[in-house]
Amino acid sequence: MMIRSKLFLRSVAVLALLCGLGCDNDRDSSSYVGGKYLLRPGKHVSSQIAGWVAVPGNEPKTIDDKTSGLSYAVLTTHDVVPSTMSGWVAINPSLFAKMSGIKVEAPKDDQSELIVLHRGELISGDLANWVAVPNSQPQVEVSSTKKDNGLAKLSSQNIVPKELNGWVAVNPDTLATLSEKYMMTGKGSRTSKE
Amino acid sequence: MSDTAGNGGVKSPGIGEKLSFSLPAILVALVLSIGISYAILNVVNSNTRKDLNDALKEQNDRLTNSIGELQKKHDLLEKDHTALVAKAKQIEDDKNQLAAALKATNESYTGFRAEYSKFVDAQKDVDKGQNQDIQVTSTNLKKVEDRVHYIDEKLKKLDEVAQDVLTLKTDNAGLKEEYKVLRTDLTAVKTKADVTEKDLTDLAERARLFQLRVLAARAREAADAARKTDLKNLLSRLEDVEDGK
Repeated sequence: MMIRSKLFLRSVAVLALLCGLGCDNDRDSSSYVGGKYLLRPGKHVSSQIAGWVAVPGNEPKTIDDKTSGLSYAVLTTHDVVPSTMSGWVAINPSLFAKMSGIKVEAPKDDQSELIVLHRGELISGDLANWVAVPNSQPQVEVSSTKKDNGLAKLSSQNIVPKELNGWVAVNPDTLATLSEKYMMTGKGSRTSKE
Repeated sequence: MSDTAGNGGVKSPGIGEKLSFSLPAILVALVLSIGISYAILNVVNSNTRKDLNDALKEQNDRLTNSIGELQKKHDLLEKDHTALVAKAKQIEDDKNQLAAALKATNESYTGFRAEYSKFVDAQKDVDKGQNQDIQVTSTNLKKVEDRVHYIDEKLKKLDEVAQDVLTLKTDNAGLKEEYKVLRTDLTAVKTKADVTEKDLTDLAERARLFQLRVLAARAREAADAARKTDLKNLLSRLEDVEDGK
């Protein structure tokens, strides 16, 4: 734990040094906070974050369902996947309902487009408290025969695309439990006695 | 005496004398009146008799004519009657002949009917026997067909399940071996003539247990895929359960 903390601090120091050496102070558009670059209105987009996207920085919230004993998070468009959910799997809501019996309500999609940051661009006041993250999105796997069945592996700092609005994220162990149960009790698991 | 003195001395005749003088006249008058009456009566009587005779004669003639006509009519009627009697006799003969023919026909029909009833009864017996044979044959055929169909269904299901076994990535040697044995047994039962209900029940139970083992193996593999976030494999496993394999 100590070693990791030290490595983390060293990385921060190196990045800060690099920024100090390689960037003009006028172009220092962001500050690194908790794994994200916090955007500063009135500043220009620096080269480090050029090509990245600006998002409000919301993160999916974990829900503990006491009835089923499951923990899951409902994804919203442009949510940023936190490091604690890295490795989790997003499940299509209909498939999740079939597997768990829980029907989740999809959050309202704000229909906004991702804002791509270009180097030297002035950061407007609308982006105050927004964060810049690399434009990385989860890779969606869709069933070849059941187009409604889809899964997506989440990684830290992934941005939730519109297509995954309302999808449900669970950790791999929960997914394993759900899958095993579904495989034993689903439609195809019936055995006849006749 | 007084009467003579009274008339001048001329004596008036008495009553007796008067009667003796008038009697011949009276007799003559009487005879004459009787003769005249007789003559008149005779004349009248003769006329009346003549009229009566004429009337009688005329009536007699008419009666004779009528009797003649009646006789003629009687003759005609008698002739007609004779003809009618002859015809009635002919009809009676015909009726008797018809009755005889009808009786013969009736007897023939009764015989035919009796024969037909016998034939129908015999045919019913034959049909009943044939139906029983057909029913027994059908029942037997259905039993055999049901068993063959049952086993075919089991084999089909088993083959489907076996496809899952073959695609399992985990160690499934035991399941594969079990599949081979079970399939061999099912095929053997299919061709077996005296397969019993118990044989089928045992096989069904074995097949069901095999399916359960495959399901469990499939579920474990799905869970492993989930833990490893091997999403493609996991989706493939989930497809299996949703396709109803």
